[in-house]
Amino acid sequence: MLTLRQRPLNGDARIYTVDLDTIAQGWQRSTRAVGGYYSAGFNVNGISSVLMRDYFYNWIGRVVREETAGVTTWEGIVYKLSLIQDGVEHIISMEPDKFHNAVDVYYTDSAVVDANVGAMAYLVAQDRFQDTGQDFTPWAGTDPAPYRIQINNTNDTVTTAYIGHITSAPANDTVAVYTNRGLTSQGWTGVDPAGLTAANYQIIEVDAENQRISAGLAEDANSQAEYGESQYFVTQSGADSTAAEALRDRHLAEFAYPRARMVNQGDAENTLVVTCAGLWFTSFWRYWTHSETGTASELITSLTGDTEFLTAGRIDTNTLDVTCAAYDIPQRIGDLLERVVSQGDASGNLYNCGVYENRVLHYEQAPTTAAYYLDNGVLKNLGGQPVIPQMIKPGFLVATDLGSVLNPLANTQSQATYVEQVEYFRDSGELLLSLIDDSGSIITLQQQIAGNR
Amino acid sequence: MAITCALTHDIDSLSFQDGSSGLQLAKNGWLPGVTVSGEPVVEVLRLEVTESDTDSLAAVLQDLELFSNRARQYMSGIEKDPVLFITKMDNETGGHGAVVLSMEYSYGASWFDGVASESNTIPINVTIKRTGGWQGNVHYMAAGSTDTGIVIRYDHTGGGASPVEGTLPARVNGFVVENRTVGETLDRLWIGLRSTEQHGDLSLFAQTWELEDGTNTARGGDHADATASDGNRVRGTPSGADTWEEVLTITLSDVVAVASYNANLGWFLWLLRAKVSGGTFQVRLRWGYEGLADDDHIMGPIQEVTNTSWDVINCGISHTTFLNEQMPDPVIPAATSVYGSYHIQVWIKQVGASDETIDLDCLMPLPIDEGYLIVDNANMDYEEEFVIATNRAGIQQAVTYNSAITDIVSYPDIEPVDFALPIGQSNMFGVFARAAEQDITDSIRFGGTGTRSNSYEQWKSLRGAS
Repeated sequence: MLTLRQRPLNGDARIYTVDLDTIAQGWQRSTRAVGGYYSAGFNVNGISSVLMRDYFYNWIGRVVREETAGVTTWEGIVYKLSLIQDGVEHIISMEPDKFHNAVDVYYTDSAVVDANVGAMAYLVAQDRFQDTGQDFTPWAGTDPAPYRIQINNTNDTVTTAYIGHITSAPANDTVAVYTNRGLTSQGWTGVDPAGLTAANYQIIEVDAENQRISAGLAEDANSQAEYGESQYFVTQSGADSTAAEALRDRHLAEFAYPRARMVNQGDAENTLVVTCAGLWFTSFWRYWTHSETGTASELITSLTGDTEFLTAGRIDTNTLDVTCAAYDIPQRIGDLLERVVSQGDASGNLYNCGVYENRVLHYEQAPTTAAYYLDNGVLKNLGGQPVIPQMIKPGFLVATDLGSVLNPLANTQSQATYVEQVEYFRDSGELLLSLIDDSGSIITLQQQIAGNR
Repeated sequence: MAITCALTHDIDSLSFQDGSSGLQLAKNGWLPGVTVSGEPVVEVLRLEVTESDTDSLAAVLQDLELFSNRARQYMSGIEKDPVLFITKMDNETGGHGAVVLSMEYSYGASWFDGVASESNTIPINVTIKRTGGWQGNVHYMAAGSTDTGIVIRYDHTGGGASPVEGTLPARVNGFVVENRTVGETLDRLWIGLRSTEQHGDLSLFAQTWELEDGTNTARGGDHADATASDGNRVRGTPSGADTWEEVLTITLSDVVAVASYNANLGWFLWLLRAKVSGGTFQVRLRWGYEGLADDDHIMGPIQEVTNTSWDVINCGISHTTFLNEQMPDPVIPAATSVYGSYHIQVWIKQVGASDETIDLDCLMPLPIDEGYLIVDNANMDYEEEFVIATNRAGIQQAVTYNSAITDIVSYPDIEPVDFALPIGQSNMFGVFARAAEQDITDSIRFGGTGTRSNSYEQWKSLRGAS
């Protein structure tokens, strides 16, 4: 049973004017051992153009839920829509690069505080530098030198040095230069200036140089109230605060709301292609900007708590020490979750981690014994019952050999394969199992319970 | 002998008999079709229309076209009322109507042909494809039994409702459930269908498995409880936190006698009535047999329980007992069947350290292999009605009406799977619960009261039910 519901922040009410169960064609969805409810898709054809457009503009971000026998067996949000009408394709997407309502720009400060003013001259023998139009008073310093001078020569070479004391009072247009910040060794670094002519120079604040600076988070509160917070951090080098803020604000203006874009033109028939993503993907909508060390289970809980839509459910204790490094390069929470999960535990066990019903994230050690087996292309539990295809979740072991007489090993784990993804296709009733470290998949046909007479 | 022969749609009618529509049945213009299979019937009627100008002729034919369009719209689900083909014999008090599936008409001859005095009368041949059965204009699904407690069983062959005969399933049109619990809102409903044809004597089916009838482990203890089904419950007390422990095992032989085993086979959605004293518990069913290792049992989904008042918890689906019922007893009759050792284990885990307990009342197996309906957010206050109906396009939708049936209170969430009146002698088995708390004194009634405009088709030839 498929239903369309309000967006996550607008409650859970079903949208009764849309009979999704009837109009959704080709419903298929996948669930992963790491991720949980992962992706889904269906098409809508054979309805009026007016309705199709209405769905295209209004469905983005809404919840799609599959229920079987009263329980949620898949849930996600409409993540992307592609509308093909009269040969033209438009898309709307919630992928972070196309939709973000909280933007920051991290830029690298060039730390340039001044530049050349008048006639320049190297005083090579004295290890000094002169600019007849400059007053070096603000830039002169003592150990440690707060500023350095970077000179571009006419022959396209660069000569640098730390600025020491002024040697030409009261003109203050000449300074002594040093090779070290401690100002104990007079001289130049970079290219030897003997015989060279200075073309221009910059005076650079040493401590501010190459620092990553945040322009500050800019947000669209109205968009966040409707869709939730989707963060996006842009990096820009060599900018100043004005440029960084302008870039940030432009991004916000353009991407704060999911927006339709024309992308293609062809002869395809009118159709609406709907792509859904599990709530797991909303963990990629926020960043961590700090680093944290803890046990794997503690970090999973901490990361989940910083998402907007997810809550921590069954979290198995895992005492493996892990560090999530997100300073000074911010990391998406979803990426950090994947990294923690991928480390397993100190004993080398696999872990499953996914978002399932009620938007709860479960983190549990993967089973080490097979609970299912294949029988003539049908996946069965140990009791010999065919599994209900909508209800099977990945992250289990399927026995591939119940005990070959040629294999003396009694250990069933050596004859079991880990299933990391299951895909269900409603129209055909097929179940597709994706096996770890295996490029192939097994297609399994299942029958639903009601109607199996 | 005068008869009624007409098409009706809501309050409109197009008579073929009294001349009011301009159409008149020709002599021997209709030889009614009959069917015993319930398949649609194609009726051919010869009508005559007499008009003196083209405009008047067009007006009559437009009326015919209107009813044809309405029938087509009803079949596609746009139009909410069907077009009925109504007949009534002179000495009958009520007419019979069959739903018109489609209608076409054509000229039988030209009025420019023949004797001058009859040139304004032309024959019209009307072809009506109708449903195979006839029904009375008004039907109701009987004053259904009012059931209290947590489960309900409705036998639609009793209580005043007419039995559904024939080999084709009847469709539920406007199936009604009424809340009879004073001062409370009923919100959730589970209904499973079970037929005698497939599952034997339905009176032997056990709707509840009282867990105090099972065998407790050291973690379980029986207690009297007036708020529990059958006055007793089992209390699970964990030995510590975050560890799965078995509380009890209940076997089929604990619940029914050996003669009833067969009547309790099938696929079921297992509902558990439970509550906690505080904190969070996880509960899980395991299905298997005596002698089976714990980890070899079939594991149900893990469900979290945090409610401190009784609630109904969905614990998953399993088949009882063996998938191939012939397997364990190829020779020995069922009277000595091993089915009795089929059992369900109830396992609990307390999440986090706390000295809390979980109370387990009963399991309610909802039959689902023939069809079922699950309802949530029904939001029925006292005397309000939940109604589910299916249109001709096969779309099912439900609403909750206020007690005066003047306002729609809510649109419940429904999951119907092959939900329709069961074939033949069948029952509906149901479990019902409030939104926030489930009480042993709640009551509902299937079918509502009084006369409704509900109808269900009976695949019987010319005869209706009244």
